[in-house]
Amino acid sequence: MRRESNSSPRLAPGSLGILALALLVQGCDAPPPELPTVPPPTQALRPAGERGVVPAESRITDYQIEARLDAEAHRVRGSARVSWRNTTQHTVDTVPFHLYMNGFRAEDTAWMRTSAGRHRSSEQEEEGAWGYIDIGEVRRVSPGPLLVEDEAESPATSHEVLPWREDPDPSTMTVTLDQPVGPGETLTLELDFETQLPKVVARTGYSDDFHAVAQWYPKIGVLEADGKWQAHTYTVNDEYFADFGHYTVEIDVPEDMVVGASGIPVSETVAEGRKTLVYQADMVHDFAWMADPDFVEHSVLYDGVYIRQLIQPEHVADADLHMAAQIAALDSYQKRFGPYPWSTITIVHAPEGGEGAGGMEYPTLYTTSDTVEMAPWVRKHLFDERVSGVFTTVHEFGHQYFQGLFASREHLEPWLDEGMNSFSNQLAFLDRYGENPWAARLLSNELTFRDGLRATMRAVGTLDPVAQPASAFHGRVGSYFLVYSKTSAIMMTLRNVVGPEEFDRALAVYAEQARFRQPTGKQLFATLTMELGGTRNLAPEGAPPSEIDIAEFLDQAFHSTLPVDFAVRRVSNVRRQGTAGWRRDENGELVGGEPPDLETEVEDLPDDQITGVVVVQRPGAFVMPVDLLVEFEDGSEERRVWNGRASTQVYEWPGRRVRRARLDPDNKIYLEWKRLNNTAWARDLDEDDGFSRPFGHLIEGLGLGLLGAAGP
Amino acid sequence: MISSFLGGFRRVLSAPGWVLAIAAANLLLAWCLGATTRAAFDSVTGRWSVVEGEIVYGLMEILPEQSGLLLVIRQSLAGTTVLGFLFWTLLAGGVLYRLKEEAPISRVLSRAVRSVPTVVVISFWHLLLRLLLVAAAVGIGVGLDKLGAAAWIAPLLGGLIFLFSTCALDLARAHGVLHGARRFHPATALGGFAEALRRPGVLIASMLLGLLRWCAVLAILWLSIDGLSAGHGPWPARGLWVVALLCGLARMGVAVEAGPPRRR
Repeated sequence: MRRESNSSPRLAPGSLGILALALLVQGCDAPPPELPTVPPPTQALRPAGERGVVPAESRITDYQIEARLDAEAHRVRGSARVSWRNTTQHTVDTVPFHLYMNGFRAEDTAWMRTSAGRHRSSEQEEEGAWGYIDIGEVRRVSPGPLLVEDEAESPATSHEVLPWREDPDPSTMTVTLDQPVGPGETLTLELDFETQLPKVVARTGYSDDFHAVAQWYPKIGVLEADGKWQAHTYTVNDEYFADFGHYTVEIDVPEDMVVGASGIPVSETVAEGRKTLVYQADMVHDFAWMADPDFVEHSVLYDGVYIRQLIQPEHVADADLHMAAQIAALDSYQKRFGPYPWSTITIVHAPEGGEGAGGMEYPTLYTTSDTVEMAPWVRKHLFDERVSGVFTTVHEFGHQYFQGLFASREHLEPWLDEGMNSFSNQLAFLDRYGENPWAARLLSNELTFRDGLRATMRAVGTLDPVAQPASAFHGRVGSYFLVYSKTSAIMMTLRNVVGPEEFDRALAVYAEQARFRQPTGKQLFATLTMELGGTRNLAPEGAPPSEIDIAEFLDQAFHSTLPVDFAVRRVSNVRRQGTAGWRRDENGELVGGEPPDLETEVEDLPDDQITGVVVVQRPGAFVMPVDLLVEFEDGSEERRVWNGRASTQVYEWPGRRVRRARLDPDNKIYLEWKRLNNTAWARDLDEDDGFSRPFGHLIEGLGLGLLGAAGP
Repeated sequence: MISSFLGGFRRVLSAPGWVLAIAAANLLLAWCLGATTRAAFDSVTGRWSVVEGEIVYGLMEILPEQSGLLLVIRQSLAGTTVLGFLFWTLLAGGVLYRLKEEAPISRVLSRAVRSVPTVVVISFWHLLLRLLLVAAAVGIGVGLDKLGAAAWIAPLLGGLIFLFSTCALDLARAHGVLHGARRFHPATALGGFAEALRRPGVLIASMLLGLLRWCAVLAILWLSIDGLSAGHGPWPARGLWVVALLCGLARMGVAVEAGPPRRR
């Protein structure tokens, strides 16, 4: 018979173990964490006094789009009403449209051919392999309203169905108009479409319940001033180019979806398990939206800008990190490139499996990437980095300026948005962390962003010129990254050489000119050349002139593959030529004839019988000036600026013993990756090379560690 | 536990000449490794040099360009590891013998050589058993991970298993070399594990010393890597290595102090 007891039941040791395990195990069904939010703004642009110049004439194309997401089929059905104003002096009778999603339609599209189904680290899968956009009817609405918001004053009276055809590559199509559109006239077209999202490989698509709806609607080309349409075939490195305008987009999604989109939400209605959201985005050149039921929302209002973050539940711990980066970037960009004109910015974190959508920019919305997971103590004491997650946040926000606001032709001049943006990211980090910030740090060993740029110069810097269309970079060469890194290195170099204040001022002038325009590389070059003065003398006052020709520098840097490399060829102290030997006296007789003092060693000669010699060389073909710092035995230093035009240059200091010579001592030239040959000791000095000794100690320490591991 | 711990150290301190000789041999080996690397770098850099604060980039520049340097480093480190294992395989029996009793060098060396087969075979069987334990630990770790356990539990479990196994190896070697246990039979290696479980005082002392030793080894690595830019110089690492050696020898001393295996 079992004894009954009123005492508390005793736990067996096994039960204790299970209890301990249970305490250690975190609950799997914990509710998603909540983050602070604030209400969104009511206007898509910031108030007039805060947003900077928004030129009315830049508004060329307006869109009204209705879209319904079938989340099971990952398909969007919709219609778009496009109002386009002909601002050129040319009449058109056809209109091209981008059908970007058709790049994912089959293996023989230009996008698939140039990508082989891969983009960054994402790869096409069998499931959801294809995406497409299928156009239904195309109608001309006439008489067309000037712009869609004026429709009430100019109601549509008829809808003429127009013929259209896909171009040889289905990423574009051409609509044939029933009547031409002349200068100053407006055309309004309605297009029905159905967009099938692929499983995300590059920028757009779905992953489980996550939907990145981008490049999803028929998008009109850009009519250039010469009367030619810009509507490029979509390939792997080509991005986007469009006119500014207002977008009103009605999005119908399952009720549980959390939606992030370009612009601001203006209404929301819920019915029968679905909700309809209306978004308004003003003066933008694209519209994208993302939907995921798992998004955790986080928002703040900073400096009049509503910053909204949609983050995956498992990464909410990183929310503050990204928000801080976004705020730091906003401060930096506004200070350098003018006010951020829109009232909102949305940061989207793609889920695991949907990483292919990460790291992409759209007007007032971008996707970022997750930071590498590390314990806080590891970050603090052992290893830390600023290149995952946070860097993506800064980079993608930077695109709000470099292409979002300065709407360059990404497909023709990818360096003007990706490259200039990467450069501006360097400035943002510099603003946040000071000069030469580290990108990764292992204990005391820091790898700086400058080091990173130089390493990429070594890897890809001379493979291709920077200034060429995206499609000219062949995937098998693997050189496209230089668009980002070499542009950064070029601009950082120029900024350092001419002086940060001058350069920043010149770039601010460009930013003002390029705002809500479609600038070109030529315009940037012209602005920099003009603002920086064409040629600049870099030599200190009283020294022989040493000039940099800004245009020549930019031409070499962007249009050639010439490497930058300077070297100290010789640092030595030699016997100074004296007066020993035969010479004529006042009577014309040869007198003297004493032998030269060749017995005394150079190091034993008095200083006045010594000449310090430094020979510098330019092994690289890139011509530009470079600083030279010479250290003397007596502890003094002297600076020179070598114009770098000849292949070698000899410097002599009679009566002074040189100790060491350093080219580019202030690390101005980011383009130069060969740095070891920039510094040399005098020949007669037995000085340390700076890293043989510490590296020897490192290897000895590693050896001790291995010996310790091996036993006892 | 305290008596085992102190006993281990007492046995080590009773053989100061051996400790010094072992330390000197290992430090010399490591110094040669560092000197070789330094000479290799010197030959490449010539009169050129990097300036302060650019050492990391200097390495990034020079190592990809000079594949010979990487080869020298790789081979030197691999060679050091192999030499380390050989050194301790050859010497383990002699060290155990010397920790047990005072003896002239010739007898210790002779005992060391004669014990090599015993040490090797016991180590082999022990390795197999340790792999089984590791496999079990990995399984538990994966299970805990799937259950959403805190991330530190699996490494902690792995560390404990590692220290426990090392204690078992010390005991098995001591049994084989000093107490006449069956030298080539897996039961001796297995007996090491059983003995470690039967003798909690010995186990805890051994694990503690093992932990101290590994802390010293990790500190060496920490200081060495940190020193590349911070410039600590080699002496802190060398000093820590002597500490690691003392802890390791004391851990072997604990196994000697434990005496012959107990019968259940």
